[in-house]
Parts: sequence; structure tokens; C-alpha cells
Amino acid sequence: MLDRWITRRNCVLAIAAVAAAAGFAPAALAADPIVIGAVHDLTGPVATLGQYGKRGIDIAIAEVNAAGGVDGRPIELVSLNSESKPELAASLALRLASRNDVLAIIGGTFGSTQLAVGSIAEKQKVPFVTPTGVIGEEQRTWKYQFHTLADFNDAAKMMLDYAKKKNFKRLGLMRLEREYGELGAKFLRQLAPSYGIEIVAEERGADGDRDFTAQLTKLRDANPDFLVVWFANPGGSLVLRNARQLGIRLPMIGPVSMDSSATVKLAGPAAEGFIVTSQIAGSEVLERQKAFADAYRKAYPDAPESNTFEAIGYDLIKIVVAGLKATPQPYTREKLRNAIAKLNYVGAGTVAHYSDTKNDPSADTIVLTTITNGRFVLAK
Amino acid sequence: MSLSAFLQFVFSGLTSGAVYAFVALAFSVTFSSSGIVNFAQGQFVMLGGMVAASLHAGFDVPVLPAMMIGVAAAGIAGLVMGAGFILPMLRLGEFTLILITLGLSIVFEAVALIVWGTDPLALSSLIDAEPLRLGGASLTIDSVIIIAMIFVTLIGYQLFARFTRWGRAMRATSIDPSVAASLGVNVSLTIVLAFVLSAVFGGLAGVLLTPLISTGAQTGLLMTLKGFTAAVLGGMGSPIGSVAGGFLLGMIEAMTTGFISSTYQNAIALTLLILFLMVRPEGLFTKRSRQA
Repeated sequence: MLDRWITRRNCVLAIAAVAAAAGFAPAALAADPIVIGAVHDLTGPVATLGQYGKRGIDIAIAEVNAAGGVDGRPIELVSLNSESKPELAASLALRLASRNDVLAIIGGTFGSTQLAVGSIAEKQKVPFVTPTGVIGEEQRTWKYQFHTLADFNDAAKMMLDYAKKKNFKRLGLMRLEREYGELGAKFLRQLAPSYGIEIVAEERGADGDRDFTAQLTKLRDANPDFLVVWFANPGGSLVLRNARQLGIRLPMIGPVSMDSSATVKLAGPAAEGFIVTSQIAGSEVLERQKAFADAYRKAYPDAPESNTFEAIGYDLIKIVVAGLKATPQPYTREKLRNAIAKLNYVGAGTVAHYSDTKNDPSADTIVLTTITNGRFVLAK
Repeated sequence: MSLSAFLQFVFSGLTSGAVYAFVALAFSVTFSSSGIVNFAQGQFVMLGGMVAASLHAGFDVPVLPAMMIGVAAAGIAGLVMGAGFILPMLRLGEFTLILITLGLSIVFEAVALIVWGTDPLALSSLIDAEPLRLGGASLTIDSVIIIAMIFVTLIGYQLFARFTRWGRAMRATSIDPSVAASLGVNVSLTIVLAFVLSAVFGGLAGVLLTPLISTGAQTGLLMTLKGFTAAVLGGMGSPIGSVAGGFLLGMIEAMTTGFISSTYQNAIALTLLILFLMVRPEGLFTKRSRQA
């Protein structure tokens, strides 16, 4: 079969075809896209934040490409779904890192996927920009990882500041049992005494739990002045609903993971007055957030205003692009990393002054917002 | 531990128990008519809840009609599953059919993810009223409705099974399909009917549950697991046993969460499932006679 095919004529044709392909190659290279890998958490227990983040990412890419890309090269995103599973996230990150054309990786919406992708990026020396905060002290020294979410220690301070201003003394803590909730509890425990606040009870629940009345009853019995609900959706919204069902009318504060339109949608009237540490107040945007807020309104005219994760999704791409613009050609991962590590980035959801010793945003990125008539406004 | 806190755990156990009871009852209905454990059972809960919630939120359909359409949608899905997938493949044997139901469950979830995305949907309450306060604990109207409805459904199903021609045909098929067939029972139709009924029960659980805890595209599998555990605890194939198993599981979970930690809630429930499968596979509330 094969030897019959290998005639002189076919050989000539084959060589001609290869030559033609080679001839076209330089032209194709000129418009070669800049490839960014993404490990999103698009499904799984806390997928809503990953989905919202992707909206911001898509808007940013469309914007950059409409403006001619970076140095005439369009941005191409290779999107992979981790299903919120750390072990899958790690193998996807490894797959991206082994592709020579991938210059940077973004993604990892919650603690464990971020940690999985981050440790691969660190070993493989790929710049990694993530929509999460530092979750372990060791991450502060990581060279290739850049956070866009403010330090949870700063978020805990904001909560306690607010409580002190309102003269609250007794904190009831309802938190996730996984590492994210543990982190919040750790910071609150460390900081509370210096604010004259006592944690009178601490209860836990899981992302998949559907009923928190037992824990909330125990919290209520401890007689707190206010509750911190250190949760993510959908569990967090169920906590708010359950609290209302139990007739608990205490002020409640939550972390940025609750700063999402899902809270309003799922908790309904029970979300009214809930306070969150946020990085954008959708209905009262700052000057630096206007361009993004307008683009978001145009892309999603029927959706509620943007919350933190849409805004920092947008920032992920803008940070990589800002880094590329400061990187001398030809681009390499190492040069891009060094450029990002010198950025003074003022964006839609993030204000970050990255350096070799600081890889997360400054504390003034955080604003306290509260849900009023189903919209997020600045908390007074 | 105050009395009001304990009472709150009881209410919480009764509420989730009623939901598990619906799914366990549905498991029993298909199991006794066809010998199939339908691992797509929880998806009917998801489907009923999601259809009702999206009709209400997206098309302003009032809650009660939205719920009725949700239940009907689940029933139609049950009809398609029974007539379209189970009947044509009945000769492949129970094991293959069980795998098919597992496959269909994954397909259901994937389609739901495409249609609705990952965001859970919420639904307003059927009756908008303040929760009842009893002994310092509170019980929502939604909970009262679910608990009442499982008993109404159980009684209705028992009456149907005893006093209607189709109900008796279902019971006859469950005892011996070939004898039932020789006595003139249309076994195929009976099996399809069982799938439709079980889907309607699942759909009912879904629409009644959604105002309380919202429903997402990924709720189905969890419901399958819980309902299956409840059915095994109470006795797969026995309607009363399944409902009792549902309440037992709900109570065990609520007490575990209340007195120990919600961390162990699933671990304890699943350990019980394994123990029962090993030691008393026929369940707590059925006699051993059926096992032979």
C-alpha cells in the first residue's frame, strides 16, 4: 500500500506542500496571539464566583483585542474548568505550564484551587495572577503569584473597626469549616481583643449544608451583639435566610465571598442590611472604576451591578497586559514576572503596589458595602 | 443546651426528613414495580425545583401554578425516562438498568447546567407568613407544608395502591411480574406508571423544598444519595418504611449537627448506610420475608 503511494510524483507534491506551508509560516507568526492560560472554577459547590469572575475576564479581553491587542498581537485565553477540585486544578495548571506559548496563568477562585495552581506556577516559574487573597503565610514569599483580593487580615480589621464604631462588644461567629473559614476565624480571634470585642460563640458549617438553624440557635443562645458570617454562597445566603426564620435581627457582616448578586438573589429580603467587605460598591463606583462599570453595564444590561469578583476578573487580564506593556520583547515568563512585580496598578477592583516583597493589594482596596433595597451601597 | 435549641434541632430534622422521605418513597415505588434502583431519582427533585423557580423568577408565574408546572415537568421527565429508556432496555437486566439510570442522572445534571448555569435559584414561599414560634423555637410555614404534604402523599399513595386497578396492578407486578402478566396485568405500562409517579413525588419535594433552601443544577445527586440512604434505612420497597427512613435520617443529621458538628453529618449518615447494607439490607421497617 505505502510503497505504491511513494511515487516520484507524490514525493514532489509532498515536498511542495511542506515548502508552501513553511513559506506561509512567517506571515502567520506575525499575528501570533499572546496566550494566557486560565484555570476557572466554573462548576462545583462555590462556582458562582468563578462564573462572575469570567464575565470580567471576557470583557477585558474583548476590550484589549478591540484596541489592537498588545503590540498588534491579540490576546488568546485558553480556558479550562477545574470544577472547583484542587487536584484537577493542579493537573490543568501543569498542562498549561508545559505549553511553551502560555506566558501567564490566571484563575483559582477559592482557596484550595488557588493553592493548587499557585504551587505549580511557582515551581514551573509561570506568572500567576489570581482573584483570591493570601491564604497561607508562606504565600507571601512566592515570587510568581500575584493576588488581587485584599488580605483577609485587613478585611477582618475592617469588620472589627465597624463593630467598634457601633459599640458592639460580643461577636457571634458563623463560619465555613474549610480553610477559608478557619482563616477568617484565626484573624478575628487574634484581632478581637485589641478592639475590646469578645467572641462569645463560634459555629461551623459546610458549603453543601442546607440547614443552619441548629448552629444559629446555639449562636443566639450565646447572646451576641452582632454576627460575622464568614461564608461563601450558596451556604452563606441560607445562613441569612435561616437567621431571619429564627427571628434573629442582629447586624451581620460577611467577607468578600458574600459580595455577590447571588446573595441578593438567594437570601432575598433576608439579605437586607447585610454588610460585606468589598472592593467595589456597584451602585456608587469610584472614578477608577467607571470605565469598567460602564463596560459591564453594556455587556450585561439586565444583570445587577458588578460586585468584587467581576471587577477583579477584569483586573486579572489588565494586570497581565500592563505587565506585558512594561516587558521588553521578546516576551518571556521571567521578564513578564519581573514587570508585574514592579507594577503600580490602579484598577477596577484592585489597587496594588506589587514588589518583590509584596504580592497582594493594599488595604485601602477594601470598602464596606451593605445591601439596601437589593443593591450594594457604601455602608455608613 | 436549652430546650428551645433542642426543639429547633427537632424541627430542622423533621423538615429535611420530610424531603428525604419524598425521595425515599419515590425510590421505593420504582424499586417495587421494576426492581430498579433509580439513581436519577434526585434529578426529579432538581428539575421540579428549577422549573418552578425559573418560571416564577423569569416569567412572573405565580408561585402555586409555577409549582404545579414544576411537578408536571418532573412527571413528564419520568414518563420519558420510563417509556423511552427503561422499557426498551428492560431485557438487559437490573444491573445494566441501574447503570443506565446513573448515566441518565449525569446527563440530567449536564443539561441543567447548560440551561440554568451553576447559580442556585430561589423561589418565594407558597404562603408568605411569619414562622410559627413554639417553645422558643421557630418553624417556617414552608416546613409545615412539606411535613404535611409527605403524609398526604403517603396516604394518597397507599389508597391508590390498595383500592385502584392500577395500584393493585403495581403491587401484583412487584410480587411477581410474570404471574402478574399471565393474569392480564400490563407489566410495561405498570412500570412506566411507577416511573411517572416516582418522578412526581420527586418533583413535589423539589418545588416544596426550593422556597426553603433554593435549588441548583447540582442538587440532584445529593438528593439521590440522601433519598437512597433513607430508603435503605427504612426498607427499600416499603412506602411506610421509606418515609420513616427519611425522617430517621433527617433526625440523625439534625442531632449530629446540633450536638456534635455538621462536619460529621454526612459521614455518620453514610456509615449508617453501609452498616445497614451489610447487616440489615431489608431495612428497619420491613419484615425479612421479602428478602428471599
